[in-house]
Amino acid sequence: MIKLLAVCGNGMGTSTMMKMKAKKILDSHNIECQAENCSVGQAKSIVNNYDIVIASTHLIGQLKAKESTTLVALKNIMDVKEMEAQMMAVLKK
Amino acid sequence: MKLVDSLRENNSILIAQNANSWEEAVKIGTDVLVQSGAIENRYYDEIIKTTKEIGPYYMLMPGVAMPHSRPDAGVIRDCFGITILNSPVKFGEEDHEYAQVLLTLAATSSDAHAEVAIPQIMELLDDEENVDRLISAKTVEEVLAIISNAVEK
Repeated sequence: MIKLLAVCGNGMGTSTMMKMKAKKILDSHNIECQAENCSVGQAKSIVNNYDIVIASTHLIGQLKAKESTTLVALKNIMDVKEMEAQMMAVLKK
Repeated sequence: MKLVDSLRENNSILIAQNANSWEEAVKIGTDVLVQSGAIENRYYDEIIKTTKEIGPYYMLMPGVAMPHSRPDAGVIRDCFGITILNSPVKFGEEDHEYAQVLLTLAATSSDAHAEVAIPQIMELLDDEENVDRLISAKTVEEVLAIISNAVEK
């Protein structure tokens, strides 16, 4: 099971969207996932509890993760193809 | 709150707007919500301030921005607005950072608004043609129809 965290500036709209899109992608690949979302401020202390953390390129710089957590920076947070490509690349490892 | 209802309630659908900068574009959207009593003027200031600090953190896809700030930045009640510009405005340095459709969002809490309205926005934007349809819309009623059709499942 993959634990995923979607992060945005305010912890509301944008991260909710990313979380929903990410979950849909993982579902379509039959990968079980537990997805949550929060603001970048809240994310800083919990980043390492997740396998994958997604955020826009604007915010990703504020997060520091250990090796077991992969940070995925998205240029275009609504772009399913970009999200899917990046997430699949991470999961193949 | 349903997207369509909020837009009607706040009279916040503005089409064929002209803006010479991203700040102007955002202001068109926030002004109408200030007029309807849903947000305070400082909500606009907060959006601008944060954008200058970290860049346009609310770009949903090339051409579509969702300007918003935090619940404690002067939100009086949950609301939405949609501003459609006559031509796209640059929001950031990257090529894909421009917008012609702005969905202004203000929420009183992180959850309430997000859980209901955000999925509707996603549904609207899932069909890329909807963005073109919105840009070509000639009347407010047309905009409402495009959104209703998209989110009604």
